[in-house]
Amino acid sequence: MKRLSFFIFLSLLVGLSSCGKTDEEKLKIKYNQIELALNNRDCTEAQKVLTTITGQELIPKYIKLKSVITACFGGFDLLGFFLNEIPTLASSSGSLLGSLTQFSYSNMTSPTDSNYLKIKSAINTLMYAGGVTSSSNANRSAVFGKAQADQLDINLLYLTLVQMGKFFQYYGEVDNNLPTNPAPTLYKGTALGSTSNCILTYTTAATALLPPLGTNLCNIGVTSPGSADLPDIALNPLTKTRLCEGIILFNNFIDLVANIDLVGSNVLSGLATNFTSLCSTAGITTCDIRDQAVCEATADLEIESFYAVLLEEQLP
Amino acid sequence: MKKILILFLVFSNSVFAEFQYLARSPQAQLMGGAFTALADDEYAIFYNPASLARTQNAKLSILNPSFQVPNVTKMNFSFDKISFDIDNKFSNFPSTTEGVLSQFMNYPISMKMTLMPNIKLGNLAFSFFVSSSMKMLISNPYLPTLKLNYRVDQGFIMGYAFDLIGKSQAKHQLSMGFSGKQITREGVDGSLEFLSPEILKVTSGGSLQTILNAFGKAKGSAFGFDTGIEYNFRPNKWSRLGFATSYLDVADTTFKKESGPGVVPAQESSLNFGLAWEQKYTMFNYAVTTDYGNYLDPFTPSGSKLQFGIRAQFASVVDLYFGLNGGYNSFGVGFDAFIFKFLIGFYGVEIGSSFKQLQAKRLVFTVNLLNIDLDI
Repeated sequence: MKRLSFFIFLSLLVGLSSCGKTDEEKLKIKYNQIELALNNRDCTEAQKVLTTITGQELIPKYIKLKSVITACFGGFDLLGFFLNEIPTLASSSGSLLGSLTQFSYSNMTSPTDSNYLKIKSAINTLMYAGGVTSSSNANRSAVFGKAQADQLDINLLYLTLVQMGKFFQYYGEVDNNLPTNPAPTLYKGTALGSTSNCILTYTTAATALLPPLGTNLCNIGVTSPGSADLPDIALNPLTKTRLCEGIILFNNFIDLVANIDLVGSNVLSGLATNFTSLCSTAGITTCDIRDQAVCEATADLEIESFYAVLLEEQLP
Repeated sequence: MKKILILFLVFSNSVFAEFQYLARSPQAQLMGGAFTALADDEYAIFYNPASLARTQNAKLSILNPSFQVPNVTKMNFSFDKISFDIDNKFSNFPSTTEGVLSQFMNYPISMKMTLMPNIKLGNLAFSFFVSSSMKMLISNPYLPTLKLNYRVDQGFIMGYAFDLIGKSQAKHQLSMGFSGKQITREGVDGSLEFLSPEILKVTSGGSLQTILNAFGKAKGSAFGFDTGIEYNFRPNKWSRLGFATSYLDVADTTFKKESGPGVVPAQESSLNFGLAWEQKYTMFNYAVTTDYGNYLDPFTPSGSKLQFGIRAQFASVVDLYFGLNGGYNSFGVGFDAFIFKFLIGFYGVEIGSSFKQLQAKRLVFTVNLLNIDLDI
């Protein structure tokens, strides 16, 4: 009996010693390595380890890390965002968009700014996670379930806020006025009221949609040296691409704040309600477009009207 | 904000790659964890059931609470002065959630309380145990994540050691031991993104139960067993050289869930190797030990599994402990007075996934109020 016990014990030791790491253990170690790299703010190392992980494309943790690492290359970290940027957000929905341009991330100097493009890529990773072809919280919920989709989408919301800040700071021409103007007086497109340019040079047809020059209106058709406003959509195909980037950001933002189960975000949910109501009243058809390709296939006038009626006038 | 503070105060320890044993001896922790071949206190059965055959004694330990808390002190040693200060992280506690996030990013916090009344009669030992531990870590500034490991264990363990070669005090002694245990565990072992909807709900008016459930809290019970083997060579009556191997929670101790939305964290198996040299004289005893602990765990870095310890006992009244656990030092002091015993010290442990990556600094103290040890 004693010999048998001893033999069993030794067999256990030999057997256990020959065990290797399982795939699950290897994966966990890789995730730990990524976390370590991100703790050390080493985006390159995190990316390097991430590329060795396969078969996880439908796992929310993987998707979030992929997005986060891409955003890391774009100079974005969520902790810094919460510590330094969120406190600058305007408390009322009327000033929200303008206050986004006050983020320190909102220092874009070119439509192809590398940080802007990295954040865009990080956003796309989340928007089309799990093979979703049409971006919406509902579509992602259908793939991942509501709770997991909300987990993805809250990260998408943070990134979208940052990207909108960049977008409206650059195209809304508030850059000339920073940092002297406090957030509530900064409007995208109308930083200094009548002396500021519109986001784009509207076509004649779209100009007719704009109400008379007023408090929140931009200076139609005025271009000034160094201005970032976009040229006539009919004259430059890139204008449509850029405009659609803004529409996608904004519409996804509205979809997120309307559908993520957020607590204590009255400002954001109020904005979603206002926006939905405005779209309905004005009869704008582009409010439901959340994908770049769909947007670019939409009629020019529809796109211009989105900017003219909603962003230039109603939602400073 | 209050709830965040509560989280920090209530949730303690853990996380990352640190292996979590069912029970650890406070004096072993002050010896760097190297205790497998020395195990000779009331926790011996939790290290190696084969160690029960080493001495033929009757031992009773009734009231032996031990506590672990984060080491919030900053110690400075110099030739002329030893000074202790409170870590700035705690003396300047932030007033906002974001401030807490920033200040405690990558700072492990842990707490543990254990009580295990036990009795040993010759080669047989029996112990009840109640243990509550919580570990918490916020990591990854790009996706702030709150990791939480929380356990409340209670149950009993019983073990017996067989003499295969020789007996207690023989020049050559080989023993083998087995122990069986019943554990009821309530706990969570998971992580949540700190800025996720779940956490936002809690900080906006939810309850602690909400967050525990979000982490996957569950309760269940299990039976498990351990085995071990020990060889002792005694060149003379004062000295002993011991080799020991223990295999704890054979094939993992998994729990049958009784309640809760998640999965009860399993007690994973561990394979430990130990070596000890000790000499006992009338007024002075000492032991030098080394362990390669938890061989099976793939998440603990290899270097962090190597442990060294020294114990020096003066007139059976004052005990000094020193240790090195995966590169992190530990030290402490103990006092014996008849049936009372008190021990306090500091130790460090690796909670990262690579050698000397992330240290958890802890303070451990224990009071043993009814401790009786008689030779048979």
